Amino acid sequence: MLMHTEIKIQMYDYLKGELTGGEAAKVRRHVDSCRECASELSELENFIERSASFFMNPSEERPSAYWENFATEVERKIQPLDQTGKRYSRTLLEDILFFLIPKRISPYAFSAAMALLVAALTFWKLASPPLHKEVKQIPAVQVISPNPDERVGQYLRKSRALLVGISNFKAERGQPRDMSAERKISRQLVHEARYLKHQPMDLRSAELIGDMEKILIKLANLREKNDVPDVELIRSGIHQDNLLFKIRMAEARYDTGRYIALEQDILKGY
Amino acid sequence: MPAADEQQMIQHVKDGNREAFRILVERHMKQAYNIAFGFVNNHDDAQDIAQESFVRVYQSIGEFRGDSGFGTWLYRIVANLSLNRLRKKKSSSFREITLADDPPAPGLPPAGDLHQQDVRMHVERALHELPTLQRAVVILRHLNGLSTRQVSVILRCSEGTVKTHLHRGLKKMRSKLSFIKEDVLC
Repeated sequence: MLMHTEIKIQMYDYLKGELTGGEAAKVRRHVDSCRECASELSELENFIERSASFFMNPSEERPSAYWENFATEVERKIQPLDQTGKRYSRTLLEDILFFLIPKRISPYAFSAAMALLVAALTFWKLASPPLHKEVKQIPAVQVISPNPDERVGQYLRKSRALLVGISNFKAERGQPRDMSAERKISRQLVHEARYLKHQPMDLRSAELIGDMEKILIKLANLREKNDVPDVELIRSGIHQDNLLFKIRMAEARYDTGRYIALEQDILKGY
Repeated sequence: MPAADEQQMIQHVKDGNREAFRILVERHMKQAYNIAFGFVNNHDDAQDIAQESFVRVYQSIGEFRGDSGFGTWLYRIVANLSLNRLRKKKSSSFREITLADDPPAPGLPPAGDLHQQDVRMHVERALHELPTLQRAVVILRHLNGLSTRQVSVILRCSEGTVKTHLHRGLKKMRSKLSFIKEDVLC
């Protein structure tokens, strides 16, 4: 009886040809000598052959459009997982953040806070005086007293004149305005700014020249024809950065510097 | 898809490649659906389970070591979710097949040949009347063509158990369908 049961549970694999040579031979030998098992094998063979044709894969009951959208549906479901940062693999940085950050804080917010902290530390390091005079340090930007550099003064005056003109720019409907003069001056000022950036200068003036350079590059790249939307963007940039005020302040510093230099020259007896 | 290609595809998914994941989904979605349907016998549930299985795969593919094939791993998730769904529903999940009301699905025998449809209905019913584990083995091994080894991994039982359940399941089905003429089925 045990033999019959053993053989019967092997029959399916035998019919599928999935038994080893020895196992198959054992089944064959038994079936050849056992009428009951031979009958069972025959029934099973018939059933396997015929029943398969009556089973339709349920997936075939779905229209092809359903299967075309299936993967998209799955992707839609996994999108929220990506947005919450729950992903399948993490980089080393993500692993570090994972342990450092409480789960209620977004990693992006944490990264932004860290970036701000680094920027603040850098600014503080640059702006504060060295603690020990005997330690010689080479500052990133040489901090000097306002220098009556005529070239910087000229650059500031020209830039202010140009930006005031742009700031007062009013587009007239249907009247294309030629911006070629502004573009030409902007290009000259960009070249001048690139030269000045490498000259010794106080920190605030260096920053101002950097800010103005961005605006001047935008101006230099204006299209030939009336480019009202871009001019509007530049105008808003000028106001947002308070550039005109900063230029006036820088000009005042240079004028004062020039006055002090003149006064020193007088005292020296010139 | 050859195993080596599939391994490569899985590595791409681990690296964050969404397109590779989509290819894996498209490769396995129908079989995942068929297996789920075999358990729950309901299109809506089968859809939920198949899609949820791929979401689980996406979530935990970083932990997939490749000891078993990707398909085996996926179908085990499908089987687990299906069994959980059945436990929650606590129903034997008979499929409601009403020949008069159901529109003929594409791929079915010709409309006038009701005899064929009747046989199909009885075969499906016999399958869904089997105990859960026997039904699972018949679905995975007989209808979806997975190997005894794969089924044993999916259902976490020995290969001997798979063979025994298959033998018993098919025997019960033959017994239930014995009233159908021999030339038609058995």
